[in-house]
Amino acid sequence: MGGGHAKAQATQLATIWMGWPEQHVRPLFEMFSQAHPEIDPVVTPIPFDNLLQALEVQLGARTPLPDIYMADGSLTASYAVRGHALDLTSVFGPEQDRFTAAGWDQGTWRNRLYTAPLHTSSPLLYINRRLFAAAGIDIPAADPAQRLTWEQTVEIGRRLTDRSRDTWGLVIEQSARPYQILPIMQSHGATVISEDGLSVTGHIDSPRFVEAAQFYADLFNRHAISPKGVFDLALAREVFTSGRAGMLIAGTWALDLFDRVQGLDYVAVPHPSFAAGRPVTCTGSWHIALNPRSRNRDQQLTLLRYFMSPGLQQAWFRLRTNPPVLKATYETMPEVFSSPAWRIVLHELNTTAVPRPRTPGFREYEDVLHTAFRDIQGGAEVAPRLQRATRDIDRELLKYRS
Amino acid sequence: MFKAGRTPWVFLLPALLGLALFRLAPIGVAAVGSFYTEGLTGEMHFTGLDNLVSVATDPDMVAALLRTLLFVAVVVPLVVGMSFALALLVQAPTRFSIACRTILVLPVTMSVALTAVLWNLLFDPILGPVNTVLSGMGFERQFFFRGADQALPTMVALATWRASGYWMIFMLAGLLAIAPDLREAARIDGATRWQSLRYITLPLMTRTFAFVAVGATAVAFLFFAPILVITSGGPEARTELLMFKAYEAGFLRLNHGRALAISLALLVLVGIFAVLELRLLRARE
Repeated sequence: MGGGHAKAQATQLATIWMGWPEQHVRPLFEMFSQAHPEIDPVVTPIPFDNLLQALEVQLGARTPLPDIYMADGSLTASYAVRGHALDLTSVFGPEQDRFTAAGWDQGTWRNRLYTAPLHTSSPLLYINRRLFAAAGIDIPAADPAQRLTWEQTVEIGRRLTDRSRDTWGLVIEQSARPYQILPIMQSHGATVISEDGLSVTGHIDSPRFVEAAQFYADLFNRHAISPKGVFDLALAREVFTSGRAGMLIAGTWALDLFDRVQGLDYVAVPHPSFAAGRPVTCTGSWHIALNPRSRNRDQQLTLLRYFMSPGLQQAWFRLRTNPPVLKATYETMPEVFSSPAWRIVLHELNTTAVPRPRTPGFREYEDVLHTAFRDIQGGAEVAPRLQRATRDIDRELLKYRS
Repeated sequence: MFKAGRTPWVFLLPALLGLALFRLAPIGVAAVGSFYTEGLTGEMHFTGLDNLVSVATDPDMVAALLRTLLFVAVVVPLVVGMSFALALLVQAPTRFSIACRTILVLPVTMSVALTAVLWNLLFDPILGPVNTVLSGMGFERQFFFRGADQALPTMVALATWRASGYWMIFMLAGLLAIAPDLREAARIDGATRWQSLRYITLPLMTRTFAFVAVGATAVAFLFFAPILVITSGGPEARTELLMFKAYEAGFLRLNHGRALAISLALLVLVGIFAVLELRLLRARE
């Protein structure tokens, strides 16, 4: 480190970051500070639930602050069309091959790169071995070709559910967020938005979508194998780790968390799909964006380049087990990525992963659909609720049509 | 140093500046902003009454308005009644009165967000201790904030619980301001406790009731954080109140003109209700 005097002379970069645990974030910025003592990133971590709103307030003021911010990859188009993200095509365009296709793709809007990917994501179906053994159920196969169908998942869920002991068959970590719910509809053959990303009529109110949404509703109501109203991510994982759920759909970040839970005997298997449908898994990445109004352009770019370097990306993976977006990371850590769980993840990322819809109105799209899924989970009639969501989303997307 | 006529204004100036900057200016911004629509890249377009008309003709907004009026109509009498009842209970100076007063005021010392998180956990359908107790007693688990029919009543309970202790302080001040001689004279004349309350305490508390009613009304109209934290307006829009709709329009749907139009409508509503309540209670006085 450059010491107090050097730090005092360093250029400060106002940086808004996701509120991951400090022990995960601090080492990254310490690495950067050692390499670049002339730059002092002033990091403001904001919890996920508040991050996007806080960014809207700050970016909406259209001032030079923050210099750098963390962007949900699906919001790239939204930030791009509203002039909140610097065009990075000239910076990383020549290096596109270094990135995984999905990671790069999430950072682009109309073939220009606006946000640089930090890591991506993929879901797994976590199985509580003890509950399966107690119910006399075989552990599902780890081979993606033999993945559970949704129909089998419901059947197993029924056998695991015991309301008298508050034990559930299946918990979905993000049980109402489009991120983890849309793959159910997509696996059933539904489309979720128009090709230009500016209309949902004929998509989320289509018969295919409604049928799949009814299946989703049945998980919580007719079959009652999933608990209603568990919207908090940590709470959902807690239901699984405390032995009150036999199956959990969650991201790879849970691998590391669950390894540290004493007495939890679990295994990860591939995400289910419909027997007559196609396997679809969610994916999405966290990105870094640069405020185009910043007065510290060189320093912004220096930090961004550093965060896209193989060394930092490796360190980041070791701190948080999210799928990397630099191909080099996979090549330099073969011992990690050859584990059964990571073999499933790599298979999903290469074959079944479908990113969230690309639309400049993703924030509005997600918010309306999130509320609709919460209601459907609570017992609202599926078709009318989706028709209302269709009307609301299309009204909000109008402003992007010009 | 100052002429006598100006001196009070010099002392008032800091407070007046604060009032203008932090209260009146935002009202002006909201009023002007509601006539504009913001373009994607921040440019402002004058759109006249479009935002207000769009808000007034949106069936969801009409439903939110009716729901808000219902919420206010239930919460305000509950808060006024509860705070008055609590003030009567802790009015008498006993060994425990200070401890009781402190306990009753505690809810307001907690941040609204923390209160919301705690209530959310307490009343969680799966892991909440309230449901654990209910099921232990042989009752069905209740969905509380997650149930379409229970969410708004549970919000009413939260709002009443949080506000009653706070407004109790003002009720207590009003009760303590009543000269003890009046009650003493009534007692000597043979008045019962109920008669003393009905004919002495209540009439002399009219101004306090007016103040608490107006304040509680404004707070109820602006009730927001627990809805954002716990239900996000759901389930099935049953907790979508106007303040949440303003937030939703501004921060989730990125339509600031519409958000300001809703805020302006709320301001007008609060003003109308404040005037009505003051007139009603002044007439009784």
